[in-house]
Amino acid sequence: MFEARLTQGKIFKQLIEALKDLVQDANIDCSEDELSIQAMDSSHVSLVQVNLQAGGFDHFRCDRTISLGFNSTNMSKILKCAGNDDVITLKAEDTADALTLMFESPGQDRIADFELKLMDIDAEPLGIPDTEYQCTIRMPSGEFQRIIRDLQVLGDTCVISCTKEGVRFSVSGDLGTGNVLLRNNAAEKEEDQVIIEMEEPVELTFALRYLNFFTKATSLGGSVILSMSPEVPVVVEYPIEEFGHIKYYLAPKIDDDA
Amino acid sequence: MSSKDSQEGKPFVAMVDCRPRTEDNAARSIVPSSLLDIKDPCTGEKRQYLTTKSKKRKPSVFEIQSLPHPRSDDYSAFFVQSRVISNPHMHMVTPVDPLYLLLPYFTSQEKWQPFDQLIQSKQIPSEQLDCLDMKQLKHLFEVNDAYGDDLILYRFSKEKTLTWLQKKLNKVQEFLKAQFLLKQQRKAVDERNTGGAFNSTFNLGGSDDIAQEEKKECDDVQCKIDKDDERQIKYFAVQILCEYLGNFWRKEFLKAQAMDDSILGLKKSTKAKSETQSKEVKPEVTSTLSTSSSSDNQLFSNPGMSEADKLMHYTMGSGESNTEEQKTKKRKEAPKSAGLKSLSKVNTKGMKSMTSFFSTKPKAKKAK
Repeated sequence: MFEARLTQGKIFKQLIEALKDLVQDANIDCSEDELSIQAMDSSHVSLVQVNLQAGGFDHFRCDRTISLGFNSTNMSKILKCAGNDDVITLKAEDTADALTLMFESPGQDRIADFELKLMDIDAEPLGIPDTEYQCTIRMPSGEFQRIIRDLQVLGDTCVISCTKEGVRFSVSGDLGTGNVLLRNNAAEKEEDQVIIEMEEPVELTFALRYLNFFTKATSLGGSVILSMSPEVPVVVEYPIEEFGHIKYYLAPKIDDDA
Repeated sequence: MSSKDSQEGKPFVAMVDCRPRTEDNAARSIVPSSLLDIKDPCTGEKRQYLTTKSKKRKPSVFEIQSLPHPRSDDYSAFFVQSRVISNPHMHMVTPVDPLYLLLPYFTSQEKWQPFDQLIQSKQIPSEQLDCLDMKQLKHLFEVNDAYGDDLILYRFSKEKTLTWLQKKLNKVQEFLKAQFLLKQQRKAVDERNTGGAFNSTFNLGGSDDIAQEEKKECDDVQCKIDKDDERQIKYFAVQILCEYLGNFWRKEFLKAQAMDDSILGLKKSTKAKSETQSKEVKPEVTSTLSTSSSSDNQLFSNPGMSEADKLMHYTMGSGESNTEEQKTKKRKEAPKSAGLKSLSKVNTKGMKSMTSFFSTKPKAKKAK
């Protein structure tokens, strides 16, 4: 038996919204102390990983580990029926083939429940080791979203280079080129800060369309953390309050012939 | 029905019109047969004919007609015992009088000469003559044995040939009349015994008992051929016969019949058409006849076919409703957001798969 009640139902709504453009089907893996999702896009060049600690829920009960396979588009359709202030409760029997989603309005005067049919998804999760990255950039998530959106006008790929000077996002396309440079900024508000930690300069190229879909998670948190090392996937992490995160991994473009 | 290999080695399926001729009745084995290139008596161009050789009976020549598949030229095959023959054409094999095949070589009366000398001068292929019964020659040639049995002389005779053609015509006419009458009688019987599901042209070839029974049943129904029908039948018989005659002989034959070329251009009446169809599925009585190749397709341009077509399409799973159903089913199976669709168009060249960076471990320790 799995049951999880989330007062801030909005978070779950936004999480699924942040997934649905990247992955078609995924498993919600529930264990005693956390709820996690890991899935790759159809091309397998990016990976999304969600983690919500049990402590973040009002009520969290999971008798035994369970995998709930769902279609993200269908899940998103059901979650559209939930209000932003609703309390969302997820329920599933151990051998269930459906996930019950219950939406309670803040005044408890409206209770809706939906059942989403589940499916068997045969996907073994990838083991992602804890690694030290050469560069870590923390910046306002809104700023990152804006940069990506702006650069997408000019081209399909962007170069992210992290140097002493700061972090530079560059694009070059048919109609011209564009550069955005962000410098360290120790603002008063934590959310406005740009903090660059760098051991060695790193320069990597990425497909902008993927980065753009990562920014769908912007509403989940005020800041985003980019972690980069040469020739390994970039990590775009959106911390979810104090109890979880959504992390996107994207393989860099390595042009042998360019 | 039997399957045979042509000279190119490509097998084909042929429906044999006259079973007793190709099968040795006592042994129930198929008489060896081969394909021959012989001049078509009508066009003068060479085409393939089937010949059979048997010690017990005289060899015969068969005309081959290919019927295209009514629906598909590309995707059809026949199952013959444990073999699959992927040739979309069905071939009709009908016996033809070998004398017709000799006609293109002779036009006018010539001098007396021995037969060997005759065929040498005309360059008639010897294989073609193998199928010929020497007794038949008296239909076309004047025979002179004045010099004894060792030296029999032949002289081609136009008059004899035309007389022979007239006999042939009479036979065809007789056959067509009999068919016409039978059809009329059946129609009458059908009307009396309602609920008959047989086509009026349906006939079980070669089974005389059934034909006799049927005849008994039909006997009490009196049918007559009026003058108009008789004329139609004659026209049709002449048309059939002319398909085996070259330009020269067609003109001579029509002149003898007091007809002109226009009769051949006449659009066949519907009556004649139905006759054609019935002949296609019947063993021939006169043995020399075959239907016109131009009328072959009429068998399939039947108005009732469209319904059968639809049914066939449906059962073969190519019906429209079926594909639509499949489409919606597919759509239901994998809903995709607009984002997913646009993502699939991204150029991922130079990007490695995630599995090349991270290995599959059953339980991974999550970062932070």
